[in-house]
Amino acid sequence: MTPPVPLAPHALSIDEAAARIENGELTSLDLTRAVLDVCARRDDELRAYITRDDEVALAQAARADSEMAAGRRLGPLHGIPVGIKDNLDVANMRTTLGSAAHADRVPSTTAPAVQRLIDAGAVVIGKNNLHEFALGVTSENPHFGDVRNPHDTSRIAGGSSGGGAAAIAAGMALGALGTDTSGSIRIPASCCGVTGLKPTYGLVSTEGCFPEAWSLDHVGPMARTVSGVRLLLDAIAERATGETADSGPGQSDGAPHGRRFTVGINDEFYFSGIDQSVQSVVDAAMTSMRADRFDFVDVEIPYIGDAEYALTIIDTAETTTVHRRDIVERPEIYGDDVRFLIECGFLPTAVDYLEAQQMRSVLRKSFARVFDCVDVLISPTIPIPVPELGQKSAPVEGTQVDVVEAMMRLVGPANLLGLPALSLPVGTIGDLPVGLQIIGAAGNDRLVLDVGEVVEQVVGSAP
Amino acid sequence: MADNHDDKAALDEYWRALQAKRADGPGASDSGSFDTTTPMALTFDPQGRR
Repeated sequence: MTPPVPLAPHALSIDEAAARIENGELTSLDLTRAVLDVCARRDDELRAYITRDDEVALAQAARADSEMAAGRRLGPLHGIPVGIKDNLDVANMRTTLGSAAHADRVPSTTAPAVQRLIDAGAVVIGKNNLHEFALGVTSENPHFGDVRNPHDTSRIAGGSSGGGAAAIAAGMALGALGTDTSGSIRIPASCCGVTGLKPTYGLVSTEGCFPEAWSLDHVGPMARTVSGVRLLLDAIAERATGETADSGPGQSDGAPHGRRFTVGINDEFYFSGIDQSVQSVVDAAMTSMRADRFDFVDVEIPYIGDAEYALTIIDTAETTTVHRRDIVERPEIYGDDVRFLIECGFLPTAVDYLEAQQMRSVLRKSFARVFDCVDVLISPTIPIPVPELGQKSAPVEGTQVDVVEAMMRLVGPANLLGLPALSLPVGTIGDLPVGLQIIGAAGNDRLVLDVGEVVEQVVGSAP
Repeated sequence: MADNHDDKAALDEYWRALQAKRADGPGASDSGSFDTTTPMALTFDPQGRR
Protein backbone atom coordinates (compact mmCIF):
# COMPACT_ATOMS: atom_id res chain seq x y z
CA MET A 1 0.00 0.00 0.00
CA THR A 2 1.38 3.42 -0.98
CA PRO A 3 1.68 5.78 1.97
CA PRO A 4 -0.30 9.02 1.64
CA VAL A 5 1.58 11.95 0.17
CA PRO A 6 2.12 14.55 2.90
CA LEU A 7 0.29 17.81 2.30
CA ALA A 8 2.41 20.80 1.35
CA PRO A 9 2.73 23.17 4.32
CA HIS A 10 0.46 25.81 2.78
CA ALA A 11 -2.31 23.20 2.34
CA LEU A 12 -2.39 22.19 6.01
CA SER A 13 -5.21 23.04 8.37
CA ILE A 14 -4.35 25.31 11.28
CA ASP A 15 -4.34 22.52 13.86
CA GLU A 16 -2.22 20.24 11.64
CA ALA A 17 0.33 23.00 11.04
CA ALA A 18 0.37 24.03 14.69
CA ALA A 19 0.99 20.44 15.78
CA ARG A 20 3.88 20.08 13.33
CA ILE A 21 5.41 23.35 14.52
CA GLU A 22 5.04 22.29 18.13
CA ASN A 23 6.68 18.89 17.62
CA GLY A 24 9.50 20.31 15.49
CA GLU A 25 8.51 18.78 12.12
CA LEU A 26 7.87 22.22 10.61
CA THR A 27 9.14 25.72 11.29
CA SER A 28 7.01 28.82 11.04
CA LEU A 29 9.62 30.24 8.68
CA ASP A 30 9.23 27.32 6.23
CA LEU A 31 5.45 27.50 6.49
CA THR A 32 5.40 31.27 5.94
CA ARG A 33 7.80 30.96 2.98
CA ALA A 34 5.51 28.32 1.44
CA VAL A 35 2.50 30.60 1.84
CA LEU A 36 4.36 33.59 0.39
CA ASP A 37 5.51 31.45 -2.56
CA VAL A 38 1.86 30.78 -3.41
CA CYS A 39 1.12 34.48 -3.03
CA ALA A 40 3.92 35.29 -5.48
CA ARG A 41 2.58 32.77 -7.99
CA ARG A 42 -1.15 33.43 -7.76
CA ASP A 43 -2.05 36.76 -6.18
CA ASP A 44 -1.54 38.91 -9.25
CA GLU A 45 -4.55 37.05 -10.63
CA LEU A 46 -6.58 36.35 -7.47
CA ARG A 47 -6.14 39.78 -5.82
CA ALA A 48 -6.70 38.34 -2.36
CA TYR A 49 -4.38 40.87 -0.74
CA ILE A 50 -4.30 44.65 -0.99
CA THR A 51 -1.14 44.98 1.09
CA ARG A 52 1.54 42.45 2.01
CA ASP A 53 4.85 43.03 3.74
CA ASP A 54 6.75 39.80 3.17
CA GLU A 55 9.82 40.96 5.11
CA VAL A 56 7.76 41.75 8.19
CA ALA A 57 5.91 38.42 7.92
CA LEU A 58 9.18 36.48 7.61
CA ALA A 59 10.62 38.38 10.57
CA GLN A 60 7.54 37.50 12.66
CA ALA A 61 7.91 33.85 11.63
CA ALA A 62 11.61 33.82 12.54
CA ARG A 63 10.75 35.28 15.94
CA ALA A 64 8.10 32.62 16.45
CA ASP A 65 10.68 29.93 15.71
CA SER A 66 13.17 31.51 18.14
CA GLU A 67 10.51 31.60 20.85
CA MET A 68 9.63 27.95 20.21
CA ALA A 69 13.32 26.96 20.33
CA ALA A 70 13.53 28.70 23.69
CA GLY A 71 10.55 26.73 24.95
CA ARG A 72 8.08 29.58 24.82
CA ARG A 73 4.97 28.57 22.87
CA LEU A 74 2.56 31.47 22.78
CA GLY A 75 -0.49 29.34 22.03
CA PRO A 76 -2.26 27.18 19.46
CA LEU A 77 -1.67 29.79 16.72
CA HIS A 78 2.09 29.92 17.28
CA GLY A 79 3.71 30.63 13.90
CA ILE A 80 0.47 30.28 11.87
CA PRO A 81 0.20 32.65 8.84
CA VAL A 82 -3.08 34.57 8.69
CA GLY A 83 -4.67 37.31 6.61
CA ILE A 84 -6.58 40.27 8.04
CA LYS A 85 -9.47 41.92 6.22
CA ASP A 86 -8.48 45.42 5.18
CA ASN A 87 -11.19 47.13 7.25
CA LEU A 88 -9.50 45.97 10.48
CA ASP A 89 -6.71 48.21 11.75
CA VAL A 90 -3.19 46.84 12.07
CA ALA A 91 -0.68 49.35 13.46
CA ASN A 92 1.86 50.60 10.92
CA MET A 93 0.29 48.57 8.10
CA ARG A 94 -1.73 50.25 5.37
CA THR A 95 -5.45 49.73 6.00
CA THR A 96 -7.47 51.01 3.05
CA LEU A 97 -11.05 49.84 3.79
CA GLY A 98 -11.01 48.83 0.12
CA SER A 99 -11.41 52.50 -0.78
CA ALA A 100 -9.12 54.55 -3.02
CA ALA A 101 -9.89 57.55 -0.82
CA HIS A 102 -8.10 55.77 2.04
CA ALA A 103 -5.31 54.19 -0.03
CA ASP A 104 -2.61 55.80 2.13
CA ARG A 105 -4.26 55.31 5.52
CA VAL A 106 -1.85 53.81 8.07
CA PRO A 107 -3.36 53.33 11.55
CA SER A 108 -1.25 53.75 14.67
CA THR A 109 -3.12 51.12 16.69
CA THR A 110 -4.19 47.51 16.15
CA ALA A 111 -7.79 46.30 16.45
CA PRO A 112 -8.17 44.25 19.66
CA ALA A 113 -9.36 41.16 17.74
CA VAL A 114 -6.23 41.28 15.57
CA GLN A 115 -4.03 41.91 18.60
CA ARG A 116 -5.45 38.80 20.25
CA LEU A 117 -4.42 36.75 17.20
CA ILE A 118 -0.92 38.22 17.29
CA ASP A 119 -0.70 37.59 21.04
CA ALA A 120 -1.65 33.94 20.38
CA GLY A 121 1.33 33.65 18.05
CA ALA A 122 -0.18 34.28 14.60
CA VAL A 123 1.97 35.67 11.78
CA VAL A 124 0.23 38.44 9.81
CA ILE A 125 0.80 37.92 6.08
CA GLY A 126 -1.08 41.03 5.00
CA LYS A 127 -4.37 42.82 4.50
CA ASN A 128 -7.05 41.02 2.51
CA ASN A 129 -8.99 42.61 -0.33
CA LEU A 130 -12.71 43.23 0.13
CA HIS A 131 -15.74 44.88 -1.39
CA GLU A 132 -15.27 48.65 -1.11
CA PHE A 133 -15.99 49.65 2.54
CA ALA A 134 -17.34 46.07 2.95
CA LEU A 135 -20.53 47.34 1.26
CA GLY A 136 -21.25 44.44 -1.06
CA VAL A 137 -21.16 40.67 -1.36
CA THR A 138 -19.05 40.07 -4.49
CA SER A 139 -15.60 41.57 -3.64
CA GLU A 140 -15.51 43.12 -7.10
CA ASN A 141 -13.43 46.17 -6.22
CA PRO A 142 -12.89 48.98 -8.75
CA HIS A 143 -9.92 50.37 -6.83
CA PHE A 144 -7.82 47.31 -5.91
CA GLY A 145 -9.00 44.70 -8.42
CA ASP A 146 -11.71 42.04 -8.28
CA VAL A 147 -11.04 39.10 -5.96
CA ARG A 148 -11.27 35.95 -8.08
CA ASN A 149 -12.37 32.52 -6.96
CA PRO A 150 -9.37 30.14 -6.73
CA HIS A 151 -11.57 27.22 -7.92
CA ASP A 152 -12.58 29.06 -11.12
CA THR A 153 -11.10 32.48 -11.74
CA SER A 154 -14.03 33.54 -13.93
CA ARG A 155 -16.19 33.39 -10.77
CA ILE A 156 -16.49 35.73 -7.78
CA ALA A 157 -14.98 34.88 -4.42
CA GLY A 158 -18.05 36.23 -2.64
CA GLY A 159 -17.88 39.05 -0.16
CA SER A 160 -17.31 41.24 1.38
CA SER A 161 -14.52 39.21 3.05
CA GLY A 162 -13.60 37.68 -0.31
CA GLY A 163 -9.85 38.20 -0.04
CA GLY A 164 -9.54 36.19 3.16
CA ALA A 165 -11.62 33.29 1.88
CA ALA A 166 -9.76 33.22 -1.46
CA ALA A 167 -6.41 33.38 0.33
CA ILE A 168 -7.25 30.35 2.49
CA ALA A 169 -8.64 28.36 -0.44
CA ALA A 170 -5.51 29.05 -2.52
CA GLY A 171 -3.01 28.36 0.28
CA MET A 172 -2.05 32.03 0.71
CA ALA A 173 -3.02 31.93 4.42
CA LEU A 174 -4.11 29.22 6.83
CA GLY A 175 -6.70 31.44 8.49
CA ALA A 176 -8.19 34.90 8.22
CA LEU A 177 -10.23 37.46 10.09
CA GLY A 178 -13.27 38.81 8.30
CA THR A 179 -16.32 40.88 9.09
CA ASP A 180 -19.98 40.00 8.58
CA THR A 181 -22.83 42.52 8.52
CA SER A 182 -25.15 40.77 6.06
CA GLY A 183 -23.33 37.51 5.43
CA SER A 184 -19.88 38.83 4.56
CA ILE A 185 -17.98 35.96 6.18
CA ARG A 186 -20.35 33.12 5.30
CA ILE A 187 -20.96 34.11 1.65
CA PRO A 188 -17.26 34.08 0.65
CA ALA A 189 -16.65 30.99 2.78
CA SER A 190 -19.37 29.22 0.79
CA CYS A 191 -18.11 30.50 -2.58
CA CYS A 192 -14.48 29.55 -1.90
CA GLY A 193 -15.06 26.22 -0.12
CA VAL A 194 -13.71 27.23 3.28
CA THR A 195 -15.29 27.47 6.73
CA GLY A 196 -16.37 30.75 8.31
CA LEU A 197 -18.17 31.75 11.50
CA LYS A 198 -20.18 34.85 12.27
CA PRO A 199 -20.08 34.75 16.08
CA THR A 200 -22.80 35.90 18.47
CA TYR A 201 -23.15 39.69 18.39
CA GLY A 202 -20.68 41.20 20.86
CA LEU A 203 -18.58 38.08 21.40
CA VAL A 204 -15.69 39.50 19.35
CA SER A 205 -14.71 43.16 19.64
CA THR A 206 -15.48 45.37 16.65
CA GLU A 207 -13.19 48.15 17.95
CA GLY A 208 -10.69 49.14 15.27
CA CYS A 209 -13.00 47.88 12.54
CA PHE A 210 -14.41 50.51 10.19
CA PRO A 211 -18.19 50.26 10.74
CA GLU A 212 -20.72 49.25 8.15
CA ALA A 213 -23.90 49.09 10.26
CA TRP A 214 -23.14 49.09 13.96
CA SER A 215 -26.00 46.96 15.23
CA LEU A 216 -25.30 44.29 12.59
CA ASP A 217 -21.47 44.29 12.45
CA HIS A 218 -19.52 41.21 13.56
CA VAL A 219 -15.83 40.25 13.37
CA GLY A 220 -15.19 36.55 12.90
CA PRO A 221 -12.80 33.80 11.79
CA MET A 222 -12.31 31.83 8.58
CA ALA A 223 -10.15 28.73 8.09
CA ARG A 224 -9.98 25.54 6.07
CA THR A 225 -11.71 23.43 8.75
CA VAL A 226 -14.09 23.84 11.68
CA SER A 227 -11.28 23.04 14.11
CA GLY A 228 -9.26 25.91 12.61
CA VAL A 229 -12.20 28.28 13.04
CA ARG A 230 -12.55 27.10 16.65
CA LEU A 231 -8.88 27.84 17.38
CA LEU A 232 -9.19 31.30 15.88
CA LEU A 233 -12.41 32.03 17.80
CA ASP A 234 -10.83 30.91 21.05
CA ALA A 235 -8.05 33.44 20.41
CA ILE A 236 -10.22 36.43 19.44
CA ALA A 237 -13.28 36.02 21.70
CA GLU A 238 -13.60 38.57 24.48
CA ARG A 239 -15.01 37.89 27.86
CA ALA A 240 -18.41 38.85 26.57
CA THR A 241 -19.80 42.16 27.71
CA GLY A 242 -23.17 43.89 27.68
CA GLU A 243 -25.95 41.82 26.23
CA THR A 244 -23.92 38.62 26.09
CA ALA A 245 -22.33 38.95 29.53
CA ASP A 246 -23.87 35.73 30.81
CA SER A 247 -22.97 33.58 27.85
CA GLY A 248 -19.16 33.53 27.91
CA PRO A 249 -17.25 32.82 24.70
CA GLY A 250 -19.78 30.45 23.19
CA GLN A 251 -21.50 27.65 25.01
CA SER A 252 -22.20 24.04 24.27
CA ASP A 253 -23.84 21.53 26.55
CA GLY A 254 -20.91 19.16 26.58
CA ALA A 255 -19.76 15.85 25.08
CA PRO A 256 -20.64 16.95 21.53
CA HIS A 257 -19.23 13.90 19.80
CA GLY A 258 -21.23 11.38 21.76
CA ARG A 259 -24.69 12.90 21.54
CA ARG A 260 -27.39 13.30 18.91
CA PHE A 261 -28.33 16.70 17.57
CA THR A 262 -31.80 18.00 16.75
CA VAL A 263 -31.75 20.06 13.57
CA GLY A 264 -34.59 22.40 12.62
CA ILE A 265 -35.72 22.58 9.01
CA ASN A 266 -37.79 25.57 7.91
CA ASP A 267 -39.02 24.96 4.38
CA GLU A 268 -40.95 28.21 4.03
CA PHE A 269 -37.88 30.48 4.17
CA TYR A 270 -34.61 28.55 4.41
CA PHE A 271 -35.38 25.93 1.77
CA SER A 272 -37.43 27.94 -0.72
CA GLY A 273 -36.09 29.51 -3.89
CA ILE A 274 -33.05 27.21 -3.97
CA ASP A 275 -31.33 26.34 -7.25
CA GLN A 276 -31.83 22.65 -7.97
CA SER A 277 -28.11 21.86 -8.22
CA VAL A 278 -27.48 23.51 -4.84
CA GLN A 279 -30.46 21.69 -3.35
CA SER A 280 -29.11 18.33 -4.58
CA VAL A 281 -25.76 18.86 -2.85
CA VAL A 282 -27.44 19.92 0.40
CA ASP A 283 -29.89 16.99 0.18
CA ALA A 284 -26.96 14.59 -0.11
CA ALA A 285 -25.32 16.17 2.95
CA MET A 286 -28.58 15.90 4.90
CA THR A 287 -28.89 12.24 3.94
CA SER A 288 -25.43 11.58 5.39
CA MET A 289 -26.33 13.54 8.51
CA ARG A 290 -29.61 11.67 8.97
CA ALA A 291 -27.72 8.37 8.81
CA ASP A 292 -25.47 9.49 11.63
CA ARG A 293 -26.33 11.46 14.75
CA PHE A 294 -28.80 14.02 13.47
CA ASP A 295 -32.57 14.13 13.90
CA PHE A 296 -34.48 16.53 11.63
CA VAL A 297 -37.56 18.42 12.80
CA ASP A 298 -39.78 20.68 10.70
CA VAL A 299 -40.13 24.09 12.34
CA GLU A 300 -42.19 27.20 11.70
CA ILE A 301 -40.65 30.62 12.27
CA PRO A 302 -43.45 33.21 12.55
CA TYR A 303 -42.76 36.54 10.79
CA ILE A 304 -39.60 35.23 9.04
CA GLY A 305 -41.05 36.81 5.90
CA ASP A 306 -40.30 40.24 7.39
CA ALA A 307 -36.60 39.55 8.05
CA GLU A 308 -35.21 40.69 4.70
CA TYR A 309 -37.18 43.94 4.79
CA ALA A 310 -36.19 44.75 8.38
CA LEU A 311 -32.53 43.93 7.78
CA THR A 312 -32.38 46.06 4.63
CA ILE A 313 -33.95 49.09 6.34
CA ILE A 314 -31.63 48.88 9.36
CA ASP A 315 -28.51 48.06 7.31
CA THR A 316 -28.91 50.84 4.77
CA ALA A 317 -29.97 53.48 7.33
CA GLU A 318 -27.00 52.76 9.62
CA THR A 319 -24.57 52.51 6.69
CA THR A 320 -25.67 55.86 5.29
CA THR A 321 -25.35 57.43 8.72
CA VAL A 322 -21.69 56.34 8.74
CA HIS A 323 -21.10 57.79 5.24
CA ARG A 324 -23.49 60.77 5.47
CA ARG A 325 -20.83 63.45 5.03
CA ASP A 326 -18.68 61.87 2.31
CA ILE A 327 -21.66 60.86 0.17
CA VAL A 328 -22.76 64.51 0.10
CA GLU A 329 -19.38 66.25 -0.06
CA ARG A 330 -17.37 63.86 -2.26
CA PRO A 331 -19.60 61.20 -3.81
CA GLU A 332 -17.00 60.63 -6.51
CA ILE A 333 -14.84 58.58 -4.11
CA TYR A 334 -17.30 55.69 -4.26
CA GLY A 335 -17.71 52.99 -6.90
CA ASP A 336 -21.08 53.04 -8.65
CA ASP A 337 -22.69 50.16 -6.73
CA VAL A 338 -21.53 51.39 -3.33
CA ARG A 339 -22.61 54.98 -4.02
CA PHE A 340 -26.07 53.76 -4.98
CA LEU A 341 -26.34 51.61 -1.85
CA ILE A 342 -25.45 54.56 0.36
CA GLU A 343 -28.02 56.76 -1.43
CA CYS A 344 -30.64 54.08 -0.71
CA GLY A 345 -30.08 54.60 3.01
CA PHE A 346 -31.56 58.11 2.83
CA LEU A 347 -34.95 56.68 1.83
CA PRO A 348 -36.21 55.10 5.10
CA THR A 349 -37.83 57.52 7.54
CA ALA A 350 -37.23 57.39 11.27
CA VAL A 351 -40.57 55.61 11.52
CA ASP A 352 -39.43 52.99 8.99
CA TYR A 353 -36.23 52.40 10.98
CA LEU A 354 -38.05 52.07 14.30
CA GLU A 355 -40.69 49.80 12.83
CA ALA A 356 -37.87 47.60 11.48
CA GLN A 357 -36.47 47.44 15.01
CA GLN A 358 -39.89 46.30 16.23
CA MET A 359 -39.89 43.59 13.58
CA ARG A 360 -36.47 42.58 14.90
CA SER A 361 -37.91 42.18 18.41
CA VAL A 362 -40.75 40.01 17.14
CA LEU A 363 -38.35 37.85 15.13
CA ARG A 364 -36.06 37.45 18.11
CA LYS A 365 -38.93 35.89 20.03
CA SER A 366 -39.82 33.66 17.07
CA PHE A 367 -36.28 32.30 16.84
CA ALA A 368 -35.98 31.91 20.64
CA ARG A 369 -39.04 29.63 20.59
CA VAL A 370 -37.50 27.57 17.78
CA PHE A 371 -34.28 27.13 19.72
CA ASP A 372 -36.28 25.87 22.70
CA CYS A 373 -36.99 22.83 20.49
CA VAL A 374 -33.88 22.36 18.32
CA ASP A 375 -30.11 22.65 18.70
CA VAL A 376 -29.55 24.40 15.39
CA LEU A 377 -31.22 25.43 12.15
CA ILE A 378 -29.60 24.57 8.83
CA SER A 379 -29.91 25.89 5.27
CA PRO A 380 -27.85 26.29 2.16
CA THR A 381 -25.55 29.29 2.74
CA ILE A 382 -26.36 30.78 -0.66
CA PRO A 383 -29.22 29.52 -2.83
CA ILE A 384 -27.45 29.73 -6.19
CA PRO A 385 -24.20 28.35 -7.68
CA VAL A 386 -21.17 30.66 -7.37
CA PRO A 387 -21.82 33.51 -9.85
CA GLU A 388 -19.47 34.70 -12.56
CA LEU A 389 -17.76 38.07 -12.22
CA GLY A 390 -20.23 40.73 -13.34
CA GLN A 391 -23.21 38.38 -13.31
CA LYS A 392 -26.37 40.27 -12.30
CA SER A 393 -29.07 37.60 -12.29
CA ALA A 394 -29.42 33.83 -12.02
CA PRO A 395 -32.20 31.42 -12.92
CA VAL A 396 -34.02 29.78 -10.00
CA GLU A 397 -37.19 27.75 -10.44
CA GLY A 398 -37.79 29.22 -13.88
CA THR A 399 -37.38 32.89 -12.97
CA GLN A 400 -34.40 35.23 -12.92
CA VAL A 401 -33.36 36.37 -9.44
CA ASP A 402 -31.03 39.22 -8.52
CA VAL A 403 -27.64 37.70 -7.65
CA VAL A 404 -26.83 40.10 -4.77
CA GLU A 405 -30.26 39.76 -3.14
CA ALA A 406 -30.13 35.98 -3.52
CA MET A 407 -26.71 35.69 -1.87
CA MET A 408 -27.82 37.81 1.12
CA ARG A 409 -31.26 36.28 1.65
CA LEU A 410 -30.50 33.19 3.76
CA VAL A 411 -27.62 34.64 5.77
CA GLY A 412 -29.29 37.92 6.78
CA PRO A 413 -31.53 36.85 9.68
CA ALA A 414 -28.52 35.75 11.77
CA ASN A 415 -27.14 39.30 11.51
CA LEU A 416 -30.49 40.88 12.34
CA LEU A 417 -30.76 38.77 15.50
CA GLY A 418 -27.08 38.48 16.47
CA LEU A 419 -27.10 34.67 16.21
CA PRO A 420 -23.95 32.57 15.67
CA ALA A 421 -23.89 31.13 12.15
CA LEU A 422 -21.32 28.92 10.46
CA SER A 423 -20.81 28.08 6.79
CA LEU A 424 -18.87 24.98 5.88
CA PRO A 425 -18.36 23.22 2.54
CA VAL A 426 -20.48 20.10 1.99
CA GLY A 427 -19.95 19.35 -1.69
CA THR A 428 -19.42 20.80 -5.13
CA ILE A 429 -21.22 21.59 -8.38
CA GLY A 430 -18.46 20.74 -10.83
CA ASP A 431 -15.44 22.53 -9.34
CA LEU A 432 -17.52 25.06 -7.44
CA PRO A 433 -18.10 24.65 -3.70
CA VAL A 434 -21.48 24.57 -1.98
CA GLY A 435 -21.79 25.67 1.64
CA LEU A 436 -24.14 24.60 4.42
CA GLN A 437 -25.22 27.20 6.99
CA ILE A 438 -25.63 26.17 10.65
CA ILE A 439 -27.38 28.71 12.90
CA GLY A 440 -27.59 28.53 16.69
CA ALA A 441 -29.15 30.42 19.57
CA ALA A 442 -27.32 33.55 20.76
CA GLY A 443 -24.35 32.53 22.89
CA ASN A 444 -24.25 28.97 21.52
CA ASP A 445 -21.19 29.51 19.31
CA ARG A 446 -19.48 26.40 20.60
CA LEU A 447 -22.54 24.25 19.99
CA VAL A 448 -22.67 25.53 16.40
CA LEU A 449 -19.00 24.60 15.99
CA ASP A 450 -19.61 21.19 17.60
CA VAL A 451 -22.38 20.49 15.09
CA GLY A 452 -20.19 21.76 12.26
CA GLU A 453 -17.36 19.47 13.27
CA VAL A 454 -19.62 16.41 13.21
CA VAL A 455 -21.13 17.48 9.86
CA GLU A 456 -17.59 17.84 8.51
CA GLN A 457 -16.82 14.29 9.65
CA VAL A 458 -19.93 12.65 8.25
CA VAL A 459 -20.21 14.64 5.00
CA GLY A 460 -16.58 15.18 4.07
CA SER A 461 -14.16 18.06 4.07
CA ALA A 462 -13.30 21.03 1.91
CA PRO A 463 -12.97 20.72 -1.90
CA MET B 1 -26.78 62.40 -3.59
CA ALA B 2 -29.03 61.29 -6.40
CA ASP B 3 -29.18 64.39 -8.56
CA ASN B 4 -29.60 62.84 -11.97
CA HIS B 5 -32.62 61.25 -13.57
CA ASP B 6 -31.20 57.73 -13.87
CA ASP B 7 -30.30 57.51 -10.18
CA LYS B 8 -33.68 58.90 -9.11
CA ALA B 9 -35.52 56.33 -11.19
CA ALA B 10 -33.30 53.54 -9.84
CA LEU B 11 -33.91 54.66 -6.25
CA ASP B 12 -37.68 54.76 -6.84
CA GLU B 13 -37.54 51.24 -8.26
CA TYR B 14 -35.39 50.06 -5.34
CA TRP B 15 -37.88 51.45 -2.82
CA ARG B 16 -40.87 49.89 -4.57
CA ALA B 17 -39.13 46.51 -4.65
CA LEU B 18 -38.18 46.79 -0.98
CA GLN B 19 -41.77 47.55 0.06
CA ALA B 20 -42.86 44.44 -1.85
CA LYS B 21 -40.63 42.36 0.44
CA ARG B 22 -42.78 43.23 3.48
CA ALA B 23 -44.82 40.26 4.50
CA ASP B 24 -47.95 42.39 4.43
CA GLY B 25 -47.09 44.05 1.16
CA PRO B 26 -47.49 42.96 -2.44
CA GLY B 27 -45.64 39.70 -2.98
CA ALA B 28 -46.14 38.81 0.67
CA SER B 29 -45.10 35.43 2.02
CA ASP B 30 -47.53 33.28 3.98
CA SER B 31 -45.84 33.98 7.30
CA GLY B 32 -48.37 36.63 8.31
CA SER B 33 -48.26 40.38 8.60
CA PHE B 34 -46.56 42.36 11.33
CA ASP B 35 -48.77 43.99 13.94
CA THR B 36 -47.37 47.50 14.40
CA THR B 37 -49.70 48.18 17.30
CA THR B 38 -47.86 45.73 19.58
CA PRO B 39 -45.59 47.62 21.99
CA MET B 40 -42.03 46.32 21.77
CA ALA B 41 -38.74 47.11 23.45
CA LEU B 42 -36.56 48.84 20.89
CA THR B 43 -33.15 48.19 22.41
CA PHE B 44 -31.11 45.65 20.49
CA ASP B 45 -30.63 42.62 22.72
CA PRO B 46 -29.40 39.46 21.00
CA GLN B 47 -30.01 37.44 24.16
CA GLY B 48 -33.67 38.39 24.14
CA ARG B 49 -33.57 39.57 27.75
CA ARG B 50 -35.61 42.48 28.97
